[in-house]
Amino acid sequence: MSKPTSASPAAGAPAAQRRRFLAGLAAGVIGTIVAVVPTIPGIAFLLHPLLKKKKAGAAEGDGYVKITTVEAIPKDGSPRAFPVQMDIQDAWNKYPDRQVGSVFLSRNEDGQLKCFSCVCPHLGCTINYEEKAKLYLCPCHASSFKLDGERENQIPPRSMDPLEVRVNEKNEVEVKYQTFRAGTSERKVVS
Amino acid sequence: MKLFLNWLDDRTGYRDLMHEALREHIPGGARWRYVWGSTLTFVFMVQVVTGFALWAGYSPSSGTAWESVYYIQHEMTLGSVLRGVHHFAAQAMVVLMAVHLMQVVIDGAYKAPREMNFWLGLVLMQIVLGLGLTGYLLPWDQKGYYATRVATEIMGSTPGIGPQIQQLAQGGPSYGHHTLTRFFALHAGILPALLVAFLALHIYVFRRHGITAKQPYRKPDSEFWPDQVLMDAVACLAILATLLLLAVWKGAELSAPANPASGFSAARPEWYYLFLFRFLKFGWVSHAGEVTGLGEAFGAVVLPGILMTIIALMPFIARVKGGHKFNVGFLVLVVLGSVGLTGVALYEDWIADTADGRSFRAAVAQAHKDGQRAVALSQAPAGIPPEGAISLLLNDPLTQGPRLFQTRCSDCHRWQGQDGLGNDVVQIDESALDAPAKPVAAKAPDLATFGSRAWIKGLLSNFAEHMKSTENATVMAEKARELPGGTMAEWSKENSAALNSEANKASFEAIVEFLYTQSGRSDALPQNDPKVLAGREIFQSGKLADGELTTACADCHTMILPGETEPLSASGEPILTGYGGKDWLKQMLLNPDAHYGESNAMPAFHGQLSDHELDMITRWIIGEYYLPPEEPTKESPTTE
Repeated sequence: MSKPTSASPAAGAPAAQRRRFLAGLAAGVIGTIVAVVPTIPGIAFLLHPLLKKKKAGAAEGDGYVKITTVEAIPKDGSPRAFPVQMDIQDAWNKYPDRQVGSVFLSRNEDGQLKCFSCVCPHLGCTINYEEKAKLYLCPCHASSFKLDGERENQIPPRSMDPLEVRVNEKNEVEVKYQTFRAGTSERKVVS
Repeated sequence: MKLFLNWLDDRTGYRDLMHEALREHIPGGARWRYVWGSTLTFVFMVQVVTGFALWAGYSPSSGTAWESVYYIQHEMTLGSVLRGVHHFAAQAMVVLMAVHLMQVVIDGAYKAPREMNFWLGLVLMQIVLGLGLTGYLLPWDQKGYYATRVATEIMGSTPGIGPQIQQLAQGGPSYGHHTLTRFFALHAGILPALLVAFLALHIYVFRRHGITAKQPYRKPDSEFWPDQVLMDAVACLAILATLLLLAVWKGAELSAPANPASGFSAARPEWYYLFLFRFLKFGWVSHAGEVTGLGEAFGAVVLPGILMTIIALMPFIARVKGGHKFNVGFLVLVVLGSVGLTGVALYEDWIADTADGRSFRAAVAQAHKDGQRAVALSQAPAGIPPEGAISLLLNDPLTQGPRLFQTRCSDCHRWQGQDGLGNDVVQIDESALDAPAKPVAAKAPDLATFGSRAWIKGLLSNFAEHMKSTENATVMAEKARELPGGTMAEWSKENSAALNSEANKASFEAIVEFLYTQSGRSDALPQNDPKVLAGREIFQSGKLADGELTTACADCHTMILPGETEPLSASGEPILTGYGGKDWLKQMLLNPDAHYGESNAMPAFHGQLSDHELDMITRWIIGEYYLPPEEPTKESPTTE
């Protein structure tokens, strides 16, 4: 675009050139507006997962979920996997009482309960318990963990994720079910 | 910078491209009349952008389409704006296309050597109309569902290959998941791809022949940049502003989820198809269809096809002397005809005081209400179940109750003086359908306040007036006509003054409260509330604060209180155990004799109502349904 130079020697040209420059400027500005504005709601829409505010009252109670009874957990300290059932909201649908994952529960001689998430902190596969080796083993990339959840090799970035556990007045075991970010040495809750 | 641009130009040749794009020669200078093609391209780009975003939130199946659109509209960031812009831009395209076509014909831009481009434009027009038709179904709401079904039925009525085409469009013999997946593939894939291809050709050929300049020239020749670009941009800005305004102010409607089982009297195609819709209603069109054996296809496919063919032949017609004038005249006629038919259709639907017009407007109002209710239920804490949102409405007393009331009860009873659905109950005069309808008197009590405290008060202190409507009864008429003069009416007459006296105010309230508590409704007091206990005492003894009832309630009515083994009173009818509650009401519908014995005047509906229907209507009458927190008790039957 040629810049208007008020001192242009061409006769009659300065006014015409200025007009042309202003028309070009206006066309550029308005053109940009009409090109950009329609994309704004589109981009905001696509960014919805990052922009949305958590609905008030979405999480019911204190986050503890009933898993099983104390008696169902072996007394010898060996862990057992239990399914976690809760209501899930998947976009527009509400599914009542669906299995959302599982947890390992174990009980030592003193009756102390221990709970680990079955989700591998490495990359999110589901961990199995190997009875013979007395090890937790992830089938995906061979992460392995000892009975106390300590990592046994360097594949996972951190030890297994412990979950808070409590026994209610009906002798039922409740767990505060949470998911954590995979692949990081720091344990961060995914909300 | 300059070095980089040189490098870039060397590799891409972008300067030539820019030059080609912007330095188009415009004989006679830039003019506003040249903006239409650009605005169409712009609106198409808006559709691409908004369409891609909507695609990321849409789920095409008959159990998730409405739900995902609801979620886009009501939960997602700027979803309603996005959907609104897409919705109105689709309509803007049709309008702009009509303007563009008219201008091309009037200015003679279709003549040699531009015939090919004219035809490309006509192809684009069909694609755009196809996009509108396929897009209308995608929300899978009542509106889109029934409008599109009419379109596919028309396809199916085409002689010969019709049924096959219909099945291919629907993905089977009836509407379902595959109708949506196919329409979505057309709407978001095949048709846009075709549109891009034909648009590219259209623009390419247009550039080859250049603009059809309007004589006489007002200004010296110029180039596309900057004056014409500025005019195009301003026109696009005006359109964009209009679209945003409409999207925010009016928004795209989402009616109730499609329910293939129920009729939809508010079914209409999108407004730009209204002319065709109205055209098909002409008797002679159907008649011609019958005579020619073409059926609906005559009016919907063959005649529009002939019109389109004539339009497509315009470049040839123009070669004959006077041909151009004929073309212009023909197009003006087609446009005026379409506008006229659209106007007639709109007038008949929205203004005309005819039976058809009235029932259409009532159906639209009902559809609007259903749509709002579906959204309110979807936003309720219970949420949308896995079966989809349609089950919310099918299991909603507030939706189903009025419909059942209208078909089953409104012959005799009224609801706030109407039929339950908000319409007056009128006598239909077969000989003069469009005459102002005459209201019909009720033959049984208005049930909008059934079982409420006000209702009980009325029964006790003014029974004859309360049951007055039964004088008009035609069903079980003898029994019904006795009611306003029966023993209860007499009792009410005798005790009315005592009950209404200032001294007995508390006593009257207590007895009403005691009876109301039997219903177990959500706002009823517990059985051991002092007020209820006081009422119980009066029920049994008939002793008021000041004086005594002529006969105590317990002397005539059976009453067994919940949780008590000893009945309060063991004989007499009507039975008041659980009075006004769900179970009492169910019994009243199935077998009213059981409550009222000899004096019953209500027909039994045993075997006529399914368990589900019974549940819906009783829960509606007693007000047991979800109401969103913003408008509590708005529709509650207990308000008066």
